[in-house]
Amino acid sequence: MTQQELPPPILLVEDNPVDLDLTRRAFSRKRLANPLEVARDGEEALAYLARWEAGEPLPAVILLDIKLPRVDGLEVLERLKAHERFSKIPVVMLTSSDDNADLRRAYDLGVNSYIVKPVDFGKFMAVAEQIELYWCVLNRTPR
Amino acid sequence: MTDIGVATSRRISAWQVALLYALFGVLWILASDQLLLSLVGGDFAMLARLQTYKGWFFIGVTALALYWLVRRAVAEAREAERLLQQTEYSFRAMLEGMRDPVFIHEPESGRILYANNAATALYGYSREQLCSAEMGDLSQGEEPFTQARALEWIHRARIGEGLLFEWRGRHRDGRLMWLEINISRAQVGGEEYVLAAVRNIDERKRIEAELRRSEESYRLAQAVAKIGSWQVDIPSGLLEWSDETYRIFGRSRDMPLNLDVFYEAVHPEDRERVRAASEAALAGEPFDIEHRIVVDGGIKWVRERAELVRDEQGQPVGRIGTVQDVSERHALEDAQRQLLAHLDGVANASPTLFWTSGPDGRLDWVNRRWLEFCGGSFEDQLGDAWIDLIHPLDRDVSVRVYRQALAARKPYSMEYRLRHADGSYRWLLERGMPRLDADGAFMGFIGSSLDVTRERAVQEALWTSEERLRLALDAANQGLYDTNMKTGEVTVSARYASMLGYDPSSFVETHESWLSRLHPDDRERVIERHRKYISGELPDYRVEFRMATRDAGWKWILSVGGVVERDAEGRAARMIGTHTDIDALKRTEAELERFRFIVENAGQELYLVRPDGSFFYVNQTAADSLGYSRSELLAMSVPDIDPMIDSEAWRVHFEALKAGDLPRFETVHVSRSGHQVPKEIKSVYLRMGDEEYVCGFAQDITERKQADEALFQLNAELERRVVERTAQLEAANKELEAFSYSVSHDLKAPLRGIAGYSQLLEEACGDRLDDGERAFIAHIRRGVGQMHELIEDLLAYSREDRRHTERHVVELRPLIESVLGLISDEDRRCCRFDFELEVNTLQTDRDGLGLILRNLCENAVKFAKDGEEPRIVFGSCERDGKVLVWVEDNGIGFDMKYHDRIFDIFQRLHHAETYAGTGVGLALVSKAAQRLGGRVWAESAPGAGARFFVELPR
Repeated sequence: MTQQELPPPILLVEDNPVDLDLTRRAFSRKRLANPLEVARDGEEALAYLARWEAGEPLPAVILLDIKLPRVDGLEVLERLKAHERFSKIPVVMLTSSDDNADLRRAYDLGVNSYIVKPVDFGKFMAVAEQIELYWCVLNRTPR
Repeated sequence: MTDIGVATSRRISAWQVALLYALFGVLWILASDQLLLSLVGGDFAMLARLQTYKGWFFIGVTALALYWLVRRAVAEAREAERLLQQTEYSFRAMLEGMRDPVFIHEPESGRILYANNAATALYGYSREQLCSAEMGDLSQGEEPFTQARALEWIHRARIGEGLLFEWRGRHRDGRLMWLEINISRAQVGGEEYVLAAVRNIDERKRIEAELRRSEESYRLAQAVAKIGSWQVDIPSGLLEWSDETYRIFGRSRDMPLNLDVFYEAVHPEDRERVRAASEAALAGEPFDIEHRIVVDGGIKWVRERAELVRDEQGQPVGRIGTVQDVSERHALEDAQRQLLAHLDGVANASPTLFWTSGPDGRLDWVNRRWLEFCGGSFEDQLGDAWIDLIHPLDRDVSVRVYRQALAARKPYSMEYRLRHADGSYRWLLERGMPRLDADGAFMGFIGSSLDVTRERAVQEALWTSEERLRLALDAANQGLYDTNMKTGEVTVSARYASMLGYDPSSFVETHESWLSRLHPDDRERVIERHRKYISGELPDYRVEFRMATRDAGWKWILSVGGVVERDAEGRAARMIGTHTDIDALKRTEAELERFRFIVENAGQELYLVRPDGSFFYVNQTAADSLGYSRSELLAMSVPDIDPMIDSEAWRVHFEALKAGDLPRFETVHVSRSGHQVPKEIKSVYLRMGDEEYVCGFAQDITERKQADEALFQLNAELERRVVERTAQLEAANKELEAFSYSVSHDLKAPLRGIAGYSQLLEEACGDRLDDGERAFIAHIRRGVGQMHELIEDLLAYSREDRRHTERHVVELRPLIESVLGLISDEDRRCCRFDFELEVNTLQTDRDGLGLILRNLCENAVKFAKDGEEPRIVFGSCERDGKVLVWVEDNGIGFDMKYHDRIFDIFQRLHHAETYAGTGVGLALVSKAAQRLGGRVWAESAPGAGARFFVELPR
């Protein structure tokens, strides 16, 4: 019952512990309503989503880094967008690469948004806030 | 006839009555007996009585029948008597009324029983006298007109023959008459008579005799004139000939006649012609032909003429014609021709063309000379064929002369050109004489024509020779000299003088002065030559020498001459000759010699090849290149030295060259030693007069081939190195890419950590730190910012190398506007931007130019002077076909000695504390300009602002 009332989680796929920690802090700093779930690489992310079949809720948005061990971010994106159900989940690339090739590839695969991680922490927090505001509050996705 | 009819019917009636009566009697006897028996039965007495009655009855009936019969017979006899009388009367009346005399003779004795009025009138006797006269009295009395003969005729008539014959009768006054007698048997009243109808035919006889006389005279006339006549009835096709015609055709009169008989008689060679003429005649053409007929194996010539006979409607119904034996005339003509032929044969050396023509003017015979002259067969030349051979310019006049002579039957003479069998026209002098037969009738012409072409030519030549010689000499640039060998005087033509540069009017030549003008090097030779000719050692005089001209130059002269007069001792007295200016020729010769030398010694091989591939000329270079002597090579052909060209290939090559192809190709020649020599050939088709050649220039390209090979090897090596190098470069690029990628990820991650945690630290314990400690944290964070900026610039710089560029039409003003949009609002507000754009569009990569402008713009903003409003001007113009874009500022400027350094990476002119920056910006501008095919430079002075130029292709 309480589970039902909780807002859907945000799935953060991030391997770098520094970035992970800073991101987690940025989101908690803004006291977000949505719980932050973390996958440390692509495989973990896909495994997490697979739990949806066992009744787990789907994330409201997936924040995906590109450079990941084992299965990298772009491949995860490709698999998600090929999946019947997961393809509706908004995916936001959150990466330090502003390489045009990465950008083009991500958009070719159907990414919903692409954000370069700001180095400045203040800016980083602003990004986190806006991500939640936009993707978890304003944005609507089909069920 | 009536009597016979009556008698017959009466006999038949009698027979009928008798028969009926007999039949009745028989029936009566048979039937009455039966009837009596049935009536009386057995009463014989009754029977006897009845028998008696029956007998009386029968006698009665018989008597009645006899009475009737007799009575009738008497009546009939009386009627017959009356009829006979009537018949005799009318017969007699008829005979009397007839205009022709008629006699009735007693058939046995021939005695005259009756003669009618006409008979009495004919003979002049009375009827009684006639009836008592003997037939002999009424006849001439001489055989066959005698009493016995007359009786013979009567007896023949009596047998039943109807006879018509002519008789010579005698009138009472003794006059003899021609009579036609029609004699026949007649029966009158059962009596037999002979009836003779007589007609006086004296008049007819007279006419017949006259006719015979006239026919005879006609026949005789025809026979004398040897003209027969004939006529054809067109509808029946019947042909009639006169006696003379029969005679001419050698046929007897008893043969049946038709056109086939006629045509059979016609000579087989003429048959078709006659037939055609006859058909033409039926169509209305005049018919007048001569043809041969075969008579008893011999041949006769006949002339036939005919007219059409037409009926009232104008339709042809027959033809009447004459046939004349003209064999004699033909024989005469033949004899003449034979004579001519004989003459022709005898006088074979005579060039005269003989011919004869007929009365119509058409040639009917020509001699062998004529045939040789005109060509063709004898038949070809007959008729008017010669008219077509007359030269068109002479034809009308010649034909008119001939026709007039023909009409006048007078001799004529003319000259005209006739085409010879070889196609040329020859002048003929022709004379025609009328030809008469034995009777003096005109038979046509006999003519002789003589070829006088040469005579005319000679004549013409005589007329024009002097003028022509002069013209010819002038045209040939020849001067004439006439030397008196005794006196040494020389008469020369004007050209002779002008050739040497002298005025012809005042030029006087002598043998001595001629000698003095000879070139010293030539003099001895010429004098020697002259002497040898004059003395007879040399057959002709022809010598070339140089002669001094008036202007002291030398001219080559060819002198050709001959002695035309000798004195009594045989010494030359007069010599005539020509001088020809051969100076140009000599120069040409010298030039040719030079050319020959050049061709011979040119480094290039030269082959002159005939159309069949054999060599006409080769130069020494060509021979040397193949190791042959020139004479050996000249005996060979192209396929012998070029195994790639067989005779067929050569032919194709030759035709292509002839068609204008100018190929340049490489091939391999085989030298005498079998060595293969690569050659480059240039060929060209050449026509010199009637001769065709291929002129081939060949060059030994062994060395070039080797060089080519070496070059090829070198190229291949270079290619290989380029491939290798490219691979290395690609690997380096990849490495660089991986490096920049790592930089952006791996360097930035810790940077974010430092930035993030230093901020968190400041937040967490900022209030516990003193100013110095807070400054540390601020340094950390500024360092992070600078490092981040540096990394971004480095990435941009390295990325610029690999960036994909695309040329598009770029509009400058909108591009600059968008660049200004990237500058911070604060900077934009404090600066003034101006535009001096002369060129607004150019073809380039938009991103690249945007990068350049943005960095230059940021640079200008950054180095603004303190206390002065920054003014930035964007300008563009076209210069030397390129586009120049510049960014001008009024900032601090720089010393031009650092000009080159400012575009190097990491080079800075100011301390980082004064002006922030990584030292990458202008390096990036320089690199981007290179990528766009352009370049950058700057003009500046310290404190005087700076102007950065970018030059790009249009």
